[in-house]
Amino acid sequence: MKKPHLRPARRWGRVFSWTLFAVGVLLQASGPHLKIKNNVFILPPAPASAGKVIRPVEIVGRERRLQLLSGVLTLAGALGLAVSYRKVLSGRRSTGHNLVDGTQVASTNS
Amino acid sequence: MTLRISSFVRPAKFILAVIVAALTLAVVGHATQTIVTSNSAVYTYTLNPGQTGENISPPADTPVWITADQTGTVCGCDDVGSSFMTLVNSSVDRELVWNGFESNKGGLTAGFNPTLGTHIMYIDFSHLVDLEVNNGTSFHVTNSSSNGATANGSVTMDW
Repeated sequence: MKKPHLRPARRWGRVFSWTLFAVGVLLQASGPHLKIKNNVFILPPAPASAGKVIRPVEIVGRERRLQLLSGVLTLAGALGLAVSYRKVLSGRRSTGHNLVDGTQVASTNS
Repeated sequence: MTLRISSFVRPAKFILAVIVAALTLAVVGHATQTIVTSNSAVYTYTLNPGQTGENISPPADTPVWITADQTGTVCGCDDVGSSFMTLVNSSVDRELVWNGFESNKGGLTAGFNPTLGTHIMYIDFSHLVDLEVNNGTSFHVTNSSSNGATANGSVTMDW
């Protein structure tokens, strides 16, 4: 069976959404996370080196920027994916597109 | 064959959708918690006798509320104390300026000084552990005891 091709715009939209989502999740996974306890950031112990200066404002600010970027990217990616695959998610079997590459899949209605 | 593939593909699509939704909720939830948490950070210390902790540099020209608490020593003796003060890292004066209360009835503490080792505020019960000036922009915790006890505690900063 010949696979129907997606329009380039839709295909790139999906690739873009997956990329946004993946980058957002990777940022979240790879960042140096500060623990939060009782609504207070726990500063990580600094490596034992003479002259080491802890700057709480910079550490907290960096964490906030990273988390904000990660959250926005992940949410934007997820919303993009939801829009891209809305027909699949809403259960319209006639489209039968694969979630990953958008290719048509077989239907059980035969 | 077609039926067999379809029986795998359809659940896989929804499992993938659930994974995406769960990851999104986890990431956005954590980001939200980080963003709404107040401007407070706690530094915990464990210092051997004579040891000095890391240097902490508060934000410039912003009043910082500092509460410091000694939570105990490894010797098991009672050396718990608490104290608080406001401190400014003044870029105009190029020094730390502070005002607050010493631990354990130590009275008021106030001063301004950029000199290394200047006493700022005692933290513990016995007045052996204190905050000291490191330079014009930072301070550190010092355990001056000679009884072999390791001091444990925390310094919380709100700005």
